[in-house]
Amino acid sequence: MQSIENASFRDPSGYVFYENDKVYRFIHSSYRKDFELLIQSGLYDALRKDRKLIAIEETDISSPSGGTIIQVEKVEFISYPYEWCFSQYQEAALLTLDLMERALEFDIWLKDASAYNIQFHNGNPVLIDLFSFEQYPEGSPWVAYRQFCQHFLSPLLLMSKVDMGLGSMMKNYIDGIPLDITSKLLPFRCKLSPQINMHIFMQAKYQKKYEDYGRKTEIDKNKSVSILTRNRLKNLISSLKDVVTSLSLAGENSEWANYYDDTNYSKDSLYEKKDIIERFAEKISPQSMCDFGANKGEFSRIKNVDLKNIISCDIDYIAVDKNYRINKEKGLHHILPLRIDLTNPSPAIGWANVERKSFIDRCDVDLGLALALIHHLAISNNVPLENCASLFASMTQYLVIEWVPKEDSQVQRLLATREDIFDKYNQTEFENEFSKYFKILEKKQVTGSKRVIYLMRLNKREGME
Amino acid sequence: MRLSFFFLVCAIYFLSIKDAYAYLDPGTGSMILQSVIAVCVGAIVAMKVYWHKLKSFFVKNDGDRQTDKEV
Repeated sequence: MQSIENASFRDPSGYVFYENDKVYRFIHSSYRKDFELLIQSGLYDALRKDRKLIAIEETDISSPSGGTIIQVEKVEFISYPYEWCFSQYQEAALLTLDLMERALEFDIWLKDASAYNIQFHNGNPVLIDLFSFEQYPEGSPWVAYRQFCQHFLSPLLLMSKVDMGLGSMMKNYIDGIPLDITSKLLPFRCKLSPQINMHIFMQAKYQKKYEDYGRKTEIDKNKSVSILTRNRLKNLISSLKDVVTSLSLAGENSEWANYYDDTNYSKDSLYEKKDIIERFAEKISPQSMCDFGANKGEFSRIKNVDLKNIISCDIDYIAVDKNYRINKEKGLHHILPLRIDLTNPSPAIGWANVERKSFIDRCDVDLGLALALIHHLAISNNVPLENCASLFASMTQYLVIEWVPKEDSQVQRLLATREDIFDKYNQTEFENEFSKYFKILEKKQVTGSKRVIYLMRLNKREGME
Repeated sequence: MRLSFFFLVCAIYFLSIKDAYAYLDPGTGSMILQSVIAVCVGAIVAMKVYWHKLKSFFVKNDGDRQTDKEV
């Protein structure tokens, strides 16, 4: 059964659809020329060699309207820019600029530069929207310059110069953060950088200045508003690359970044915890896993399991960033770290609220890890245990969850400045509430700590199978 | 402001290149800005290239200090 991708409607060149768990692209006959150019020029092969874009395969499937259908390699987990850590976002931006530079060598360019054209696949950013390429019109300024600055440069500058959490503003602005807002938020010292001044502050002013251009001036559509030679276009791309590369995430030492240096665990306990989790995972042989409170990903990187797809989530931007960089160093391509706040996960946004799916909708894994997490949800955030169970039940088949008792020093720390209203926060209640959604298969206490690690399986709903 | 007006006048009178029929709204201001900043941007890029060459000429075994991220 075919289903068309909800987000694939803005480009009249074609659309994406799904059938039998595979991904396809329909290409209108009007766009066929540009698509053939991408293939025949050699650009596709050159970029595929460096794994910079998603693989495609021509099919024999014919379309009554005369279009072409190609099969596209599937991305394991769709993520959105507002879920990316700084390093991921920076690499996605540099990839876009790199694609533009490489394409120009073949007389091709990118007609758009949306952050949603990039996905993380096998640990690296790749371009998934092959429709972005078209014939380079010699002499034209870059039509996607504004979009690049709104989708990439603005959030990166805000994350680097103002606050690391501002990437989440991308949730509010479906076509990237407007330049006038970025101008107002960036500190004055940014104006002293000529390049940032030009790409952000000046562009914001020019946008305002010419916003009525169509109404006040008679336009001849056959004449261009301006010209930019190829060399100057290349310089523009170099300049953008320069700015993006020079940025870094401030605040390397956040509350969570040094977490494992300051916890309840002795080194032996830590190893034992890893061992318990690996044994539990081996029992169920999951293909996909989500580590809901991953921190720097220590437990996402479990061995001995044939996992193809691991999503490694944490609320802390710096922890996610470290997680991403550690995985790169270790060559672990099957893990995708993302910044997710479990108490406020990414909502469904965009056109009709179906364009970008919610995190809960996208997360449907074989195994979920909820380690050192339950007390943050139940105590810090006052979420009843049953509601916690219900949330996990909507995202995973099996759950490995760590029960953190009140006597634990981390919980005591949370209760230090507030009244203990959590009468129901105890192990019996925990087991009762979670049993409403899961069957407890096994539990194991970690020696040297009062914490207990459970292995649970989602109850089948009545009437199913 | 007068400089940008001058560029605009030049563009409209002396050039007759067809706009790319982009499905995206490029924003008139953004298109014009690119021509306006082109010379400045070119100078900055050239300066950085020469500074880089000069630095590597004087400092032996420095390696590439710039974080050239490989994507």
